[in-house]
Amino acid sequence: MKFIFEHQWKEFFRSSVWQKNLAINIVMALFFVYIAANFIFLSYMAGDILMDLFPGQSPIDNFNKGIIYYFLADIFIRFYMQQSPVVSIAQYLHLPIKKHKILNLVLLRSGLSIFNSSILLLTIPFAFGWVAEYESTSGAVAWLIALVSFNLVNSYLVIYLKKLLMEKPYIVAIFGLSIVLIGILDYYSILILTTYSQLFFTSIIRNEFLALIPVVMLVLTYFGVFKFFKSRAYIENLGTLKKKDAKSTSLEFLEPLAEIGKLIELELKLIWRNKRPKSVTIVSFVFFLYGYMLYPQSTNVFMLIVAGLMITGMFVLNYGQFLFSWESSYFDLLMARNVQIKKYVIGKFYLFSFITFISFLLSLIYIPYGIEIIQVNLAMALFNMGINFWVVMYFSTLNPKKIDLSKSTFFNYQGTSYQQFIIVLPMMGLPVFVFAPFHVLVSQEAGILALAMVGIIGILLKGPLSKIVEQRIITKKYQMASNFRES
Amino acid sequence: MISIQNLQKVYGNKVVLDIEELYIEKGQSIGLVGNNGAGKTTMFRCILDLIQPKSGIVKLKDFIVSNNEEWKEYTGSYLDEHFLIDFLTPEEYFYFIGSLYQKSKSEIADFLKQFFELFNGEILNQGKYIRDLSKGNQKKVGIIAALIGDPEILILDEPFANLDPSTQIRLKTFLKDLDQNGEVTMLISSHDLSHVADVCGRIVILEKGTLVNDISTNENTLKELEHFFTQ
Repeated sequence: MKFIFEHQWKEFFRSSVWQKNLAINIVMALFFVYIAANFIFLSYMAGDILMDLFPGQSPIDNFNKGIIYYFLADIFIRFYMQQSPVVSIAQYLHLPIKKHKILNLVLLRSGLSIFNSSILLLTIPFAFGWVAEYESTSGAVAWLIALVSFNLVNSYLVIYLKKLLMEKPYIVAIFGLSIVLIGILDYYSILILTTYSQLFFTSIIRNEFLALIPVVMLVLTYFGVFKFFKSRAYIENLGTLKKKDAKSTSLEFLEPLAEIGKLIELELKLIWRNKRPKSVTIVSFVFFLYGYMLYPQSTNVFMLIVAGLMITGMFVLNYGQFLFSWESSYFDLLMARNVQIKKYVIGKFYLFSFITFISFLLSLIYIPYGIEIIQVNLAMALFNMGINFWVVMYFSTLNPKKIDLSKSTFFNYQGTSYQQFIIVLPMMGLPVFVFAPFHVLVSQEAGILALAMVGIIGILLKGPLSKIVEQRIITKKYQMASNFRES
Repeated sequence: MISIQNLQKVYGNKVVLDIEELYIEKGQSIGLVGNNGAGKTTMFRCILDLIQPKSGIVKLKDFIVSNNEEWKEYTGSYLDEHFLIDFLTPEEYFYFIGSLYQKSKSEIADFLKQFFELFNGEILNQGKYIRDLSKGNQKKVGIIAALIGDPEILILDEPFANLDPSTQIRLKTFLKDLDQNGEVTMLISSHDLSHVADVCGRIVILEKGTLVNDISTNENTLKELEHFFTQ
């Protein structure tokens, strides 16, 4: 039965991203090592930090108080990020292997995922540095067993909930709402979660056998999930076959733009109907709240410009960096049928300008933080429309890769290449390059005005600029199309 | 209508396509046959300017394909699923392609009526995106979309593969009628020798990237072809 592990291993390492992009692998590996080191350090220092924060109180008690929040947050994070492992059994169902065997293996394997190891990094240093030191080693071990068990309970619970979401979404909604309700009760000190959390985990340290409670919970959850999936181990239930009620729609207000309007409509449907571009777009708008973090603290004009760039240009940056890759699955069609490349470019210009404009309108809620912010944001919106858009268009042709639209965004770097780094540099650098000389030589207002003027010039020059991009697409289209055809 | 001169495509140091000359008159229908790796799809992609040949030119009507976009106005094509937009419903897809040729929705709806039988009630108004259709139905959508815009040149790669028997016969009849009208110049590849012998007036055999045979179809063609491929 070890072939399943072997296959998963191969699937992971033979995926095209791994095979082709060593540099990104190294960066990602370093990133993971960095995160892991942070976790270990945090756990190691947790005792001292808690002593500083709550002098005179036991850091172990305070740590135990916090655990409940960790696990509640954990459920939500997992719900968004954890992939269901059960889908991968589809390819074995027709083979002469007992169903319960495969299912067991796949579920057990998912318990060993990298997600679940983070709890060990976060707790082992504290367990042996503090709990074992001030209580007992056996208490520390029991405590660890309890935490790991709860962590796995969460992991299996989420696998179950995500599947249930497709069948009975209201149950999942009730579950989610009740957690939120508990949170609210806790916030208004009606139900004090930290007390229960502390009581429970501290008791485990003192009476090791109490750790059996979470272990039994884990076993029950596991068999519950197992039973649930056993009865659903048919391809049609695994989410590999989907049936949806698709509606044909058309956006009438784009009608006057004729073909360009149709191209914009197509791109809007691309965003709306596919998982990855949709979440990229939503994340772009979440970034909008960045202003609430930055504006109360900083009035440095360079920071305001960066904020303006982000707030009005997050979509250009986030969605635009994969500009052609989004269309990788039908790029041949765009090139071989009667799509005029000029109209294709102009369509994108209108779409991006429109979204940038909307972002600027939304940014008006920051008026209370000063009119200057609005001035900067207007200038940056114009700059994003008139300059950064063309920068993104031009450099997106460098080496775009294929993207599978249906995959989730998290930890998904399919389609990423050096191209993204090259796009970000001028997008960030150019505004400063335009602003700084006027700011130093004349005044801050002159710098902001210069940004706006350069942006307006870019908008007015859309004819010649689109011509450049058009030529660029024509010369690069063979390489792009061949990249997109690669599987 | 279609002219190819000294067309050569090379990957690494392997020549995958090497065609000295191929002229196709207006209204002719050409069947392209050859085993896997013979260069059929490569040739189609060169014709549609999707890959860049090492040397040589392709002209559709009077235009060299790599120099301008005019040829797209009178060329309909379907090579593979890269010509489908899978998150649209079939209707939306047809309307979109229609809009590229300045066809209104009602014109497209009228156009689609003639394919009622071919669609067999599985394409239109099914509440499905193209990605949720079966392979065969996806292919039907692609082929019909290639016909939108009254193309003077029609290029289809393996149109019969993956289709059910009824649809193969219906499609064959449709293409034959199209050929009889003499308005459309067709270039069709297929592994099914009897289908191409049936539909096409001229058959070209590709082998390892080169043209090895060019025959006008008659009653013995199918035998000749079978003989050729069993050698």
